[in-house]
Amino acid sequence: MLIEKYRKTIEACRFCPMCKVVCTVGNITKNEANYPRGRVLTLFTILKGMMKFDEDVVERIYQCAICGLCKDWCISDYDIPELIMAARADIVNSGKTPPGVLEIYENIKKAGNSHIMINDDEAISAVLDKEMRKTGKRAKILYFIGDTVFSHPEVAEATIKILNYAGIDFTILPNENKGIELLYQLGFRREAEGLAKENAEVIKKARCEVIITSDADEYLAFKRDYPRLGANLNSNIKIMHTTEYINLLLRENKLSFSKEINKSVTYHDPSSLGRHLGFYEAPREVIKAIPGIRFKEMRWNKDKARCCGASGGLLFTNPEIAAKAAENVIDEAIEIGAEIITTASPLCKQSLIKHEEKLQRNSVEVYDITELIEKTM
Amino acid sequence: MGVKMGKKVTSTRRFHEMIYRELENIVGPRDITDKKVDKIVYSVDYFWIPEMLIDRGCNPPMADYIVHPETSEEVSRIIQLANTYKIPLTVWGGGSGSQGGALPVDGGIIVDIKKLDRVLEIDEKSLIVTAQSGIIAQDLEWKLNERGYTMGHLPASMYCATMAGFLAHRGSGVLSTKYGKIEDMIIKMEVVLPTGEIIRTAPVPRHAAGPDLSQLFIGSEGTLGIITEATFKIHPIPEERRFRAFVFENLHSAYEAGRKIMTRRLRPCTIRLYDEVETRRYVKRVIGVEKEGAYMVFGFDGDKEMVDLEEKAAIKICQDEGGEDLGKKGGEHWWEHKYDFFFPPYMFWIPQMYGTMDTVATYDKMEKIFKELKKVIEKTYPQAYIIAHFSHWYEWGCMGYIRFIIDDPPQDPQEARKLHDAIWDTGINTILANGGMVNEHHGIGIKLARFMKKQYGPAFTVMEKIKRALDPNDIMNPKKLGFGS
Repeated sequence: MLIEKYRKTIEACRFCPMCKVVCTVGNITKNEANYPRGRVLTLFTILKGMMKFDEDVVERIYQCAICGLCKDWCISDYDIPELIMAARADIVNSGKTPPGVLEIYENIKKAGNSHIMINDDEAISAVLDKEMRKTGKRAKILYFIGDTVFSHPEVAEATIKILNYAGIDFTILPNENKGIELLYQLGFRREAEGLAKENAEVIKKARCEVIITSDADEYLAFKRDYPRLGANLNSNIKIMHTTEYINLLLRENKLSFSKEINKSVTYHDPSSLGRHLGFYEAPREVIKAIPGIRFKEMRWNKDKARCCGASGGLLFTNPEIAAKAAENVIDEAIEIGAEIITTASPLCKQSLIKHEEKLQRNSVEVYDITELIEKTM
Repeated sequence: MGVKMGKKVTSTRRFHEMIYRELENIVGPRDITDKKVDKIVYSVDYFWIPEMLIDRGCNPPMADYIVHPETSEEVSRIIQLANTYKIPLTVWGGGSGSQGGALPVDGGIIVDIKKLDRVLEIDEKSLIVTAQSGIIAQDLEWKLNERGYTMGHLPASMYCATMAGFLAHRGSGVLSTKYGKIEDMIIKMEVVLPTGEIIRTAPVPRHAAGPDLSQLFIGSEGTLGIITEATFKIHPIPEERRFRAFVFENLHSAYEAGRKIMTRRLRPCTIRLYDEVETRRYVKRVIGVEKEGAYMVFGFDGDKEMVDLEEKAAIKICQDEGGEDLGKKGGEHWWEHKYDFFFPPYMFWIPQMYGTMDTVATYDKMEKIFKELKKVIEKTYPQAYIIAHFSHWYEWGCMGYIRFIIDDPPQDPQEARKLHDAIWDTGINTILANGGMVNEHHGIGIKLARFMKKQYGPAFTVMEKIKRALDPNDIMNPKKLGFGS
């Protein structure tokens, strides 16, 4: 079993409750089996042969946001997210994948995305035809849209508008936007590997020098998981998140704003960018550069930012828990008087906007940072 | 004479489904589970025995149901149901207790109170806070800090323990020397009795209207009811909080310095004194102080001028006892890393066998208790070694946090348990024989239940009678606190 590799973490965490106060899921369900100690104790009993990956154990292992707050809180950085992802891979490898998770996998296989949207190219084409000057050309910069374009075409649209506005010569992969990160986090490593290698081949052929992506999860995949899966990109290719690239454009005076946004704005750190990659400053610098904005940090920010329930597949596998996690983030934003919550991950946006009624009642809007910039152009 | 309340409890096996449905009707389908994956996690708290059993592949006793009530009324209805069927009921907070107090040793229902987690009121005029008792201590502290206040209750377990847990076990934190133990912080509380009635104790703790009912329930470890709400004193975050460290040639001179600081009636927020072994083995490893001898840190907080004055007096006392001043930095460093000792890999863990015999006694006795305990344990069990620190200081005495450690205990669970219990027998009997208390701030649970009668003598019958009167069906947290053992 893959979890065997994490025996040191298992032995350290199986009886330790010290990160309880920060656990995203445990502090929603309050079930001891949903806190890091409980999850790890359960995995220890699996290793010991006291329990099996039965339906109930599998359910608990998928009730984790893999948000990494436990790891970050721990003074010794025991890596529970990696352990949980390994456990999920063990579950998938042993044919114990729960029906709900299998359904997500089938959707990805069938439609090329996790959003149960059919990949008939129409959704994406609608955006691209509207905004792209040319497609299928060769350019140094490749915008990897990722499969969140199906659920959030507005983010891709805003990104393309910004690139066009700044006069950037770029290209896209119109038919190859398959994300791997969700598959990887749900335990489908072989499938993630296959897709990553396919993507790597296509990217290789595009002969780009820079990949930018507005999909935070795929940014994490490019940075962390492609190398692990042996899907090697040309080592000279620079991988950039959209906010990182926009920040560069701003610094080089290649992008400027023509309108102000006179609002109080906060930023929700996606776990995929923040805790997993230490990517905190670029989004903040971009937001702060927008004229008129009053930037306010939430009390829980950067490495201690609360998870909105979007990561670890929780949004799809346990939508009720994810919704409560998102509500906690919204409550925090309301407490500090934010009028706009920005984020840099379409999945995080998806999680947050589920509370439409609460957001409206409190006059709070949720935008991807690219959409915010689009408003200033 | 044991408490003869032991009417045989209902076996839940035959009626499992029916009782499950009735509990589900009370808390709702999301807040009940009888799945083994959950029950196994609730069969282990921070007590070494269940941890060892799991480590060796054995299952500790498990509950039949785990429920998560969200209101006091739900708690009351659960208790009434438990009485109807005479099912054992065990309260679970953060599960960080080291005495086995939350273990469902007779099965039955676990009532996890962590969904009772709301801060109800911060009264800034009286400086008190009212909260539901299942709130994790750190969450409450954060809420207070946002408004400029602190509980002053800062134990290492605050990241995982609930306020109810502290109340149930008479907990204390690293600043207890000034802010007190939890029993000093309480104003009033709401309790659901073992027969389901919801009661409130007097609105203030200082009165002359009979015994203090709050104090009856504090330390009762879920045997006399479930504390569902509590009001505590709070304090403004002090203008200044400053720490200073000294290292002394030996424990005795450091101990004398600590004692003199307290009997001089200075008001430090903390004094923490490590014996020579803990200084060498752990203070060095965790906070990097490489000194031989006994490391002591103390702190003062409040208005800067007061802190200046008191700190100056304490420094003088330490110097007079021959302490080497490690300065402010040496003390602040401890404060920044005070909880690191309790994270892996610094905390003891299996395969080690370990136990904390925290005891409290008057100043004339504590040094002797430590010396005797160390001598007896290390002589009787040569494979064991003792480390200690002294960390809750009162006007009249202090607490010794005396731990035994065996690096390579037996693998056989029965042998391991036998050795473990024998060491505890030796240790607690030595403590009691020398005038110490069976425990200072972790509580009794199941670990120390067998020593309660010895501790109290005939006075224990008072507790037994109270237990019998309040819990006629003997369903509340069976086998704990010496009841029914």
